[in-house]
Amino acid sequence: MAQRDVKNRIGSVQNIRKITRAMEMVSAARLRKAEERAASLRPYADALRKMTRQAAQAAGSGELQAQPVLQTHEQEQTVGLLLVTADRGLAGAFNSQILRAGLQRAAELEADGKSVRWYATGRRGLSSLTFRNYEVAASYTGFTDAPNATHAHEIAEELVGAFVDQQIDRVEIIFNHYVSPLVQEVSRQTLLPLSKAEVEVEGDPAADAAPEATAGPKALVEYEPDPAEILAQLVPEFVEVSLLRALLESAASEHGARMTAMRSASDNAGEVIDNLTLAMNRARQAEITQEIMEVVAGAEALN
Amino acid sequence: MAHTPFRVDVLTPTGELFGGEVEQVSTRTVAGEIGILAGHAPLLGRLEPAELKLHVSDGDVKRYVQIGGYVQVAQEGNVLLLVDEAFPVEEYSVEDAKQRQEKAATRLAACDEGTEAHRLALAAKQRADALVRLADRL
Repeated sequence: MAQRDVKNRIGSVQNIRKITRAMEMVSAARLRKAEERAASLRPYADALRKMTRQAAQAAGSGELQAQPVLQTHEQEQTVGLLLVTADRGLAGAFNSQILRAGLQRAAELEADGKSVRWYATGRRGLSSLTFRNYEVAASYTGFTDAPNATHAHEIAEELVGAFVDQQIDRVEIIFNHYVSPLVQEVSRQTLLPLSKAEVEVEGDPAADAAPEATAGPKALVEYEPDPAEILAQLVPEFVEVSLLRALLESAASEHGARMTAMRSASDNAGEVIDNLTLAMNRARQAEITQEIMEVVAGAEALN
Repeated sequence: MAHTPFRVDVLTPTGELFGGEVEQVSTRTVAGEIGILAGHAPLLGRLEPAELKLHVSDGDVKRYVQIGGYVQVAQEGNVLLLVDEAFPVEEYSVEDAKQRQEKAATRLAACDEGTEAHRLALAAKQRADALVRLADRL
């Protein structure tokens, strides 16, 4: 390769490294924000659980169990699969591993004689599914790097509606579970029917054991509307919370995955530059040697 | 006139909106406008789209717009508001509200009557309508 060509290539690899470095830093900053957002969901979910317990107690026994989103459908024919992917690529295996897990799960379900209804968040998941000629029942795009409650609300209502109307008998969500900035694990979770564990207060035995026994006389609690109705509205909120948690974790994972991918891209670019520089030096040396040989040969010819 | 202050926390899924002592909370539940002072009876209520006012002191009133959520007055008198979506009053725009209304209307039109999807869409439409109506009241 001529010296000039190698020089050009070094230049373009250096430019690429600048871009990947910048992307790495952007992802690192966004990752921190996404982590914070994921953490701030917890107090909300805990408070929601406590309110639900209060409403469930007031509504009377059996009310909570009777909530439609907690019901297992007797016959599971159609399973909704929600793939949580990113809007953009350049994040290593982030999107492809979700898709792979989704297709594998679909094959399992179909082997069991069930049919699959696809849902997707993120442009990557949607385009991969449509490219493979799967029909996507609903898709949600444009927010995957910073999802908020409104997005989760929209998705949850669609899924809860379809579930309660018996169009789907079960909903599973496949997303990248956030372990650390470097590690994301593909995780599959059943979103509907909602597990009772999600609704119940965790590790709070003192509160569970006869709360009426504490303190003296208690004022009567007002309910607007009545407890059963509040309960009916509170319980589906947990679907939203689970969903939002998955979306937020996926967003944090996305930034982590992109950060890692961009870091290795930058490292790789450095290696490529080193190799090319070596090649360029060799080419230059070869050229000089060639010239010297020509001069010497010319001088010898004169003698 | 100063009232006894009490503890209020306003939580949203994406973080705490407010946490501290206030003298009065005014908001709206499905049963109508409600003002909460210190010593209010225990309450659990569903919130409607409305203005949420936190009277920190006479001259300091924090104003937000809430879309929906729950309000709880505990036995001890602490007030907890769980709001699924809320933003400062200055960020309210009629255009946004109308856009939401339109979206809700399209969604409602696509649902068959009598289904759960229809019921949810109807509720969303009513919330959006209430949000648009709020424009005259802010």
